[in-house]
Amino acid sequence: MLGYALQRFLVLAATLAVASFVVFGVIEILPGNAAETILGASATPETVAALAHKLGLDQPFALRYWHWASGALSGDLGLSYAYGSPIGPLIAERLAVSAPLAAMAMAIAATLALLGGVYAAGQRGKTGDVAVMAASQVGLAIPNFWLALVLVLIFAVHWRLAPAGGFPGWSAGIGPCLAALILPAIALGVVQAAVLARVTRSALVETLNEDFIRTARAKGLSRGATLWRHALPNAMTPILTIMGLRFADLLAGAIVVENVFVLPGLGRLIVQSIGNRDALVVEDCVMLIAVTVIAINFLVDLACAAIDPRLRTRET
Amino acid sequence: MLLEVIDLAVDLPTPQGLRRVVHDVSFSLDAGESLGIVGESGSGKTMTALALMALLPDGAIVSGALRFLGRDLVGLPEAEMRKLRGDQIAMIFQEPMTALNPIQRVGRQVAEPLRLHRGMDKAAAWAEAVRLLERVRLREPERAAKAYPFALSGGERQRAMIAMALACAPKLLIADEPTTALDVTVQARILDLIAALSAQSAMATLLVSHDLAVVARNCRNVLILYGGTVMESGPAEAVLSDARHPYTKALLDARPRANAPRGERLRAIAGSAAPAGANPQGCPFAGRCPLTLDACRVTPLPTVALEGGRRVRCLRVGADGRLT
Repeated sequence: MLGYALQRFLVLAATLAVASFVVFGVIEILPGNAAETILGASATPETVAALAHKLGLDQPFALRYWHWASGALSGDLGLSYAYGSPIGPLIAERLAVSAPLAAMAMAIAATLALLGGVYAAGQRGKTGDVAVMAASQVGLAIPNFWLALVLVLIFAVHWRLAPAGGFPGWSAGIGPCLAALILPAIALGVVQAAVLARVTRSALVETLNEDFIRTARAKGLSRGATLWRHALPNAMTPILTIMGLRFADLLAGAIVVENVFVLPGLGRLIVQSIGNRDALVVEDCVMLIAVTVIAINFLVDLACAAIDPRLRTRET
Repeated sequence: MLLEVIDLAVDLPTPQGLRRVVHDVSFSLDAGESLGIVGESGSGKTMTALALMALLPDGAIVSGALRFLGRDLVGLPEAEMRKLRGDQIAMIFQEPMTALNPIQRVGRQVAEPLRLHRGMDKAAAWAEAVRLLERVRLREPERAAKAYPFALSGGERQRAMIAMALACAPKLLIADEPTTALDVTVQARILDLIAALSAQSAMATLLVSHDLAVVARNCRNVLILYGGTVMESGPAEAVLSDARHPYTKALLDARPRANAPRGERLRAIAGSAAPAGANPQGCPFAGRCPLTLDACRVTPLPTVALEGGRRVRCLRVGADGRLT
C-alpha cells in the first residue's frame, strides 16, 4: 500500500509541475497587460512602460515563471497588480465561500447519485429504473446556470425560502451562510448527480452480473444485502474514479454559478481578475483549482486501492 | 426422503415469450445419496439446479413440486427460501475464479453464512471459517483465510467455495460443474473431497456435469438430460455400462477411448444439440437420433420402467428394455 501511495504521489508531483507551466504560459498569451488596464486607454506608452517595469512585467518569461513558481512553493503567492495587496489572504477570503460551496455540491451530487443509482440498479428494467434514468437524462441536459436561475425564481423569488444571491459572511453565523450557499450548491450538484447516477447504475448492473453475486445469494443473503455488501463495494472503484474526474467539472461550473448568485468566491475573483488582466491572481487561482483536482484524484486513487486489494499488489 | 422432485418444469422469459427449458423432470434423493445430472450445454441441467435454490433468472416460472424435507419449495416465500439457502441447501459453482468476491478476504466470505444463519459474532465465525478451510484440506488455513481470492489457485478457491458451502452443515449440496474449470489432477482431488465430506455428515449431493466419467465415478444414481427432458435414469453403473436410450448410447460412443486405434476419428453425435423446448410434443432428440420415426416428433414421451429402478423415455424402447 505504501509503495502504491508513493508511486501515485510521484505522478501527482509531475502532473502539478506540468500543470503550473501550462497555467502560467496560457495566461501569458493573453493580449494586454495589467499596466495598460490599470492606467486606462488615455495613458501614454511611456507611463505604461514605467508601470510595467515597476510591476516586473518586462522581465523575461522564464524568470517570471521561476519567481511565481518558487514563491508559490514557499507560500508566497505574490501581490495583486490591481489591488496591490498580497494574493494569499485575498484567495483565502474567497475560499471561505468556494470551498464550502464545492463540498456541499459534491455531497449533494454523491448522495443523489448513490441513492438513485443503487435504486435504479436494484430495479433494473422495471419502472423505477426507467424513471430514475429519465430524470438523470433531464439533469444531464440542463446547464447549471439555467438551473440556478430557475432555482432563484422558485425558491428565492416565489417562495422566499432562500436568498437570491450575495453572501453575508461567516461572521453573520452559520445559518444565513448555509442558506446563501444551498441554492448554488443544488444547481451545481444536481447536474453532477445526473452523470454520477448513470455511472453508479451501470457499474452496479455490470457487477450484479458477476458470478460472486450468485454465490452471495446462494448463501442466503437477500437481494438488498447482496447489493449493498457485495455489489456496491465492487462497483465503487469506477464510481469513485468518475466522481474524482467530475469534481473538476464541478469547480468549473462553480465559476459560472458564483457569478449568477453574486457570491464572493474564487470563481468571481477569477472572472474579475481576467477583466483586470491581473495575471498573477488568475494564475494562482487556476493553479489552486488544478492542485485541488489533482489532490482529489490522488485521494480517489488511494481510496480505490484501499477498497480493491488487487490494485495494491499489482506489479508494475 | 430428503428431496423429491415431481414433474419439474421451468419456463424462462425470452423476447419471443416464455420458453420451456426444463420439462417434467422427476427424481428423488435420500440423505447421504449422490445423484449425477448429465447433459450437454443447454440441456437444462443448470436450470434444474437453480430451480432447487430458487435462484433462476428474474421472470422464470417453475411448476411441478420440489419437496425438500416434506416441504414444497415451489411458491415458497422468498424470506423462507432465504433461510434454507446456504443453511440446509448449499451450492457450489463452476468457476471458482469468479465465484468468490474479489475484494473480500476468503475467511470473511466463508464466515458469512455462519454470521447469517447461526448469528455468530465476527471472531467466532472467523475461527470457524479457519476450521472449515482446514477441513477442506487447504494448506495453511490461517493464511488462506486472510488471503484475497486472487492470491489462491483455482483448486484452492474451489476448496474455499466448498468450505463456504459446508459452513452450516447443509443436508443437500448442489455442485454445478464443480471441477470443469480445474486441471484434471485437481479435479479428482476435489471430487474425492466432496465424496468424503458427504459421507462424514450424510449430506446428499447433486452433481451437475457434462462429464460422464466424473458422474460414473462419483454418483450412485444418474439422470441423463437432453433438451430439458430426462432421457434415462437409474443406478449410474447400470445406466453407463448398459445404456438403453439411443441418446445415452450416442453420448457414451462420443467419449474418446484410450485404447482406440491411432488415427481413429472421434465419434460425434450428428447435428447440434436441440435447444430446450424444441419438439414440444415429441422427443427432443428426434431428428438427431438414428432411430427416429415420424411418430417420435409428435408422440408424448412414454416412460418405460425397467428392472433395478431404471427408467427410459423412448418410443423405440419396449417394456423389456430392448429396442422395438
